[in-house]
Amino acid sequence: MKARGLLIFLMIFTLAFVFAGCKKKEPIPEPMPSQNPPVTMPPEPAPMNEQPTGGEPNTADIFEECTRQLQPVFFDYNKSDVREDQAAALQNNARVLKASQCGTVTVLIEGHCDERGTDEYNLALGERRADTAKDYLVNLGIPENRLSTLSYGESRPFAQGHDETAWQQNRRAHFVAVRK
Amino acid sequence: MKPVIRLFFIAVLLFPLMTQSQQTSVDIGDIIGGNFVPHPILIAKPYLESSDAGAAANELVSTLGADLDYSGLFEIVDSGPYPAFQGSVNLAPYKSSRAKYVVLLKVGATETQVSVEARFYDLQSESLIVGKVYKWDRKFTRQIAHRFGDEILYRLWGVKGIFTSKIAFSSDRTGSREIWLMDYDGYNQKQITVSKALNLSPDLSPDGKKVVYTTFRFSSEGSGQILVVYSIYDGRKYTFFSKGTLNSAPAWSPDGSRIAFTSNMNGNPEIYVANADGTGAKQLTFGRSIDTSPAWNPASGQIAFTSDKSGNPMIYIMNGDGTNERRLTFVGEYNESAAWSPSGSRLAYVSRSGANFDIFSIEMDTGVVKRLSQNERSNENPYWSPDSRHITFASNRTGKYQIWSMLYDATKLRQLTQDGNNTSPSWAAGE
Repeated sequence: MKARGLLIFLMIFTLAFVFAGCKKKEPIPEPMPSQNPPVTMPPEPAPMNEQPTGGEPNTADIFEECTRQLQPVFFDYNKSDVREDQAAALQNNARVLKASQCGTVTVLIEGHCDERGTDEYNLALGERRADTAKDYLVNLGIPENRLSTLSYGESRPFAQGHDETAWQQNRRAHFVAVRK
Repeated sequence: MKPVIRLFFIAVLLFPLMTQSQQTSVDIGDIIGGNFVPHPILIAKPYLESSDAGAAANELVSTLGADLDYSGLFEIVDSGPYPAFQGSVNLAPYKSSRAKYVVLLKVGATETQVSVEARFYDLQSESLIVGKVYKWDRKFTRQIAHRFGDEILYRLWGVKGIFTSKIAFSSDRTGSREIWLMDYDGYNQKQITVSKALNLSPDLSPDGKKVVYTTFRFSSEGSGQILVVYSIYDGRKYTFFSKGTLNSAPAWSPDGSRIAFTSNMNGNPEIYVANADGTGAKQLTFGRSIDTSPAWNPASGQIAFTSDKSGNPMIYIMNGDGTNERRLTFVGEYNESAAWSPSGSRLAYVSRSGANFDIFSIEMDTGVVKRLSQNERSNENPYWSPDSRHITFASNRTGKYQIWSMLYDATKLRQLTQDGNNTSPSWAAGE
């Protein structure tokens, strides 16, 4: 897993140079904190928007990679406060969003609920879960303008079952790195 | 006697009749009283004006019979032992039945057209209570039966029947959650939205002509739910409200001029009321709790809603301007989805009891609570019929979520949908 991550990282890294060289119109990458080498920042936008050509490698998308590193946060039934055992996931997410690779991406925090209860209440509950996760990350130093929220209520379950095993998977805040 | 009846009949047919277009919030239960015994009614086998009118006649009889039975106000007397209507009125053969009323139908039909003469008699006084002539496209045969059924209720009790009413709901049967509309009895289901987004929580305007619903907008300025108003019969559409990322649970005011809804435009999910064009939004609830699912009392203008300010979702009531808030439900750990009967006398809601969600109804005068479902998995989103006598709701008791309806006392249960998951029914007068 680590090796794959490194490989993807290197590919993006390489591409970053390629695109930095040929795409004059793109905005200049933001300056990085001085303790990091200045070259680790991939330019935006990521290569997914480019037309693939025969000669180019099949590359991973930086947003997909950041999304992969962001961990979901699970909630108790009908609750929106952060459980003690879920704090580590949020701390991980704050680290990911401060690290150089994902240091400028914006994140959509989706709030989800299990299938029990009404659509209407679950939309509000999902929003509260997303809000709680957002507040937690802001407290850990992530700028608010990099975080947005969206509640799906019970309409996008991750697990399809109708028991607690599925329900606990579905009561969550889900983090997606997005293009601003 | 006979010529007099005929003359009366012609008079009724020729003179423009009072129509029951006026909205009424009269509860028919208050008129008929608590010890009401359904009236026996006989729908005589119709007189066929042509040999190919049989199918249309059967459709009329079965539709009208189901309507009257479902109302809980009539008991259908088997027409088998009695002669068919002979085309000219003779009540004698039906007077030996125990029916109080008789319906006589004369039906003509072509491939494309149906024509109906419908008469409703009081058998004891032999008086014609209502007679109507209908000529319509053959495909509207059920609608003719519905309209005549509404006439019967209006003539007897002065209230508008529900047989021409419509129910909007959210369905995923096409693969995406869309808004659908159907007749109150589940026939004639039609897709309203085709956006392929998530479309939830439809609420029909009191005149049944518009629907407001929650949909998802994904854009670079911010993604979230917005509320859209769609005019069902002319196709016009506008965004009612889109500030913040959460806009949900819309509910038309009883006069159709305003919409109550939930929004997080100021940070926390709160209840707002705005004019139907989206202007003049006023925040009615405050604080850190979840406040959602507003429901109007058409009689008093009060709003019931759900709040978790006690720690669990419970039903609260406030005045239409947000003042005078009080808690209504105290039992259970999850009460949601309040719905006021149009007469204001009853409030239905969902309560979680054990693993199940069930429908309950409170008599507002006495505080007496009645349980309307039990041990049948999840039963959600109760919504009253325009005549305050029936409740539609969503239940997954047969597997997927389907729309059901029942009388206020949980009898006359009907499953209205079959395909996919169907939720959030809203019931209003027809076109």
